[in-house]
Amino acid sequence: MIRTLDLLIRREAAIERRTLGWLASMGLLGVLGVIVLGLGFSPEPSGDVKSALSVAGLWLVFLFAGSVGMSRTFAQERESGALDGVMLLPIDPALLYLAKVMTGMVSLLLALAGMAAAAHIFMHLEVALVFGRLLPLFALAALGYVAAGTVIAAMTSSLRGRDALLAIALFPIVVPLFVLATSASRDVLLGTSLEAVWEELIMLAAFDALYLALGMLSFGKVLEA
Amino acid sequence: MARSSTFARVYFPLTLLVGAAGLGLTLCVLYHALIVLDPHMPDGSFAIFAPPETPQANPMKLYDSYRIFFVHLPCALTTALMSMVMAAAGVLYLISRHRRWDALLMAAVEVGAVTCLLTMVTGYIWGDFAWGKGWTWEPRLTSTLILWLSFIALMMIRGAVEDERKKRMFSAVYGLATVPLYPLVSRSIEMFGRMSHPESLESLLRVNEISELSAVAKPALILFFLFFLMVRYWQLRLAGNIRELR
Repeated sequence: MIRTLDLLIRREAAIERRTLGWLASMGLLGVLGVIVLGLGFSPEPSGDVKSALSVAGLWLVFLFAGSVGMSRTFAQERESGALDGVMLLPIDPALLYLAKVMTGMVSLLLALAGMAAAAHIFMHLEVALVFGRLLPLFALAALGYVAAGTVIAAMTSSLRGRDALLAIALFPIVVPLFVLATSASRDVLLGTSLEAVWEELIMLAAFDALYLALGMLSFGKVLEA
Repeated sequence: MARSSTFARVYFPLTLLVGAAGLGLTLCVLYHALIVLDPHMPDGSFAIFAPPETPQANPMKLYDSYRIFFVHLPCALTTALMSMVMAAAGVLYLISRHRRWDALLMAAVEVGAVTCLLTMVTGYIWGDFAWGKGWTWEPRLTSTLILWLSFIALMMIRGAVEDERKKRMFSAVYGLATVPLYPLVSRSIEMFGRMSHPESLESLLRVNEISELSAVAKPALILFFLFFLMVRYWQLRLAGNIRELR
């Protein structure tokens, strides 16, 4: 099982390397979003207001950029028939799902790091300085987002107007994650320690576990349909 | 033929019975809530009207505004019930792949969308009296809006899929994917703290007349909406049968 998972992760990583599906779309869109956000902050707000607005804006950009990345990756695989080929193999679809979630999460975290750097440079937001403390938060939010998004993207990738549908279907479902992540990351940016947002981290982990369990159970059925 | 005879012998009379009971009781509740009920309100009954942060709009108008709770609360309970029916029907469809569970899921989504909207509208009207503004970005209201959006999203996904089997499968999976939203709605006040929305109607329910009517209002309106669920379920099942025959 581990060997199969390893091979599937390598396959996903190879697709990502060749097409730059997640990173190119998300990274670029994310940085552009941060720049637009920075341009909107004129005159620049100060102190707590700036942190609260910036964090909300960053998560919003992350939400949209992530959905574009997910949609693109699935669309490429569907159009080339690669997904049908993989489905013919005698492997558990749950493993394919886990491989997609893991690679998606790494790509999303890399894109987030890029957005944090852009926010540091263009918005003078000290995200980069507390990035270590924000990392567990980012990782848990990204995991839940990709876990839910992979199933919904698999659904919508074969439909007309898939990009809009993915956003419409995915955003209400992942709201619990973003409510928790936004409030916790704002607190961390304002100087709170990670221990103080422990409760939010536990709840994020619980939501992640729920999305992952649902995804592992339903991913195969969605691809078969 | 066997299906239609089961429908004629069992389901149709049962639906009529539920509809008559639901409509009759709901009309009684509304009549009592709006016209008959005139309780003596001891001090503290209106504790729920004092949100910690927002000012009250017009204290003189508050007295009668509690009457909207006889609709608001049962609608919220029906929404929760429909969400659970939706998730259960989704699981049962994934296990059995029988069309009846898909019909039940869709009926629950449609009725749930209506009751959720009614919950928000009645809440808005009350909030306008009690808080001076109908809508505030507080956890219970926001999470209810998100739940409503998830109902609409499911309907949109369904509308975009042409293949019937795919349509049913996606609906079941999406219905299940909304399950994490339930703790967010029901536990929102515990999770994020109370801002404006009352945690319970305890102070009002201490008044006997109100608590008695409230005990009848909940099953009455739930039965009323259950009637629509049953009618819609059979409409969807029959539509599925016709599609299959074609």
